[in-house]
Amino acid sequence: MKEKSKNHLSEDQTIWSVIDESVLSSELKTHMASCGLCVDSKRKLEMDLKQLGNNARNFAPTMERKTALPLERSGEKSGFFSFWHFNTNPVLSLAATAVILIVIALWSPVFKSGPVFKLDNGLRTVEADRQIWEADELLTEISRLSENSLPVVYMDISGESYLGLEEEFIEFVSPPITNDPLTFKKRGKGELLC
Amino acid sequence: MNWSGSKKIERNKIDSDDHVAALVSKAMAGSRKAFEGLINIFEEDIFRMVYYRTRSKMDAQDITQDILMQAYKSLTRLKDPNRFKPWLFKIALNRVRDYYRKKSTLEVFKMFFSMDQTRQYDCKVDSNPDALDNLMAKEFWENFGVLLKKLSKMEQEVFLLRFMDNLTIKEISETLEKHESTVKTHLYRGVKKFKKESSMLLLYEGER
Repeated sequence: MKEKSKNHLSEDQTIWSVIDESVLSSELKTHMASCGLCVDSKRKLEMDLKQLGNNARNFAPTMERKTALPLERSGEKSGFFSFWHFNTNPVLSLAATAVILIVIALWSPVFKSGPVFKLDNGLRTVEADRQIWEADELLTEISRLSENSLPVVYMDISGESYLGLEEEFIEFVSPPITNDPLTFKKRGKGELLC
Repeated sequence: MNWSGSKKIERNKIDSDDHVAALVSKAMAGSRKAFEGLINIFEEDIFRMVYYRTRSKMDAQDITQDILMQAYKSLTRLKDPNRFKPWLFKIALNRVRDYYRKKSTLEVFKMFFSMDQTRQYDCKVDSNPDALDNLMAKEFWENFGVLLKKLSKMEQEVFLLRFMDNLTIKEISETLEKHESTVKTHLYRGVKKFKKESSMLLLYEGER
C-alpha cells in the first residue's frame, strides 16, 4: 500500500499530465491507466480549467456590431473606377490629400500668378506684363553691349570711352569721304596734303 | 468519456478544420462570400479574445473589426490555408499590443486619477438587466484580474490562449512563434498558479 501510494502522481505530475501526458515516464503512464485516484485528480484539474473557460465565455459581453467588409478589396482591380478607390485609412487619406494640395500649390500657374486684370487685348496677368518688361530690358541691354562691349569702368581705363567725344575730333580721326579734288592728288615725295 | 465519443469529437474537429481551410482557399482566390463565412466562424472568438485582454467591450468591438479588416486585406500573404487560425490570432495579438502602446501614452495624462485594474472590466450590464448576474460577472472578472496579475506576461498569454481561447499547443506555438516546449513550460507555471486561485474563480457558473 505504501509502495502503491508512492507511485501516485504528485501535484506537478498531475499538471503535466493535463498539459501533455507524453512528458510523463512510462511507469507513471502505466500507473495512471490503473489508478482511479490519479485519474480523478487529473480529471478534476481538467474540469476546473474547462469551467474557467466556460465562465469567461458566459460572463463576456456579446458583440453588437457585426463586421462588414468594404465594397472592394484594396488590392483588387475593378476596371475603370479602380483608380478612385482610395485607401480607407483616414490618416493615409489625409496625408495623400495634403500632398496633392502641396503639389498643386507648387506647380499650378493659377497660384503662381497674381491677380488677373482685364485689358483691352483681353485677359492679361501681371506675370505676363512683368515678363514683357523683362524682355524689353534684356533687348536694351543686348543692344548696349553690342555697341559698348567693355564695362564703363574698363572703358575709362582703356581710353576707349565714347562718351563726351566731340564731332570735330571724330572727323579728324576718321574724315568722311568727299569729292574734293584736293584729296585726289597723289601724294608725292615730300609733298604735304592740305 | 468513452473511446467512440472522443473519436467523434476528433472527427468533428477535423471536418471543421477542413471546412475552414476550404473557405480560406476560396477567400484567397478572391471569394468575398468565403471570407464572410470565415468572419461568421471566428468573429465571436476574436471578440472574446480581445475582450479578455482589454477588458473593454467598446474597444474590443473596434479592435475586432480592425483585426478582421486587416486579415481581409492581407489574406494573400497567408501561404498555408491550414494555418489560418494561428495566423489570425497572431494578427489579433499584435493589434492588442498596439492598443496597449497607444493606451500607455494616454495613461500619462490620467496619472492623477486612481485606476484600479480590477475594476476596469465592462460587465454585461447593458445586455442583461439581471442585477445578480451583473454582480457575479463583475466579481468573476475582478478575481480573474487578480489571477492574471500573479502570472508573467508570457504565462498570461499562453494560459489565455490555451484555456480561454481554446487553442492547441501547436496553434499557440505557431501564434507566438515559440517552440512547443517553451509553450508547455509557461503553461505549466500558469496552471500551477491557477490552482492556488481556482477557488475564487470557480464559484460561479454563468449562464447565457
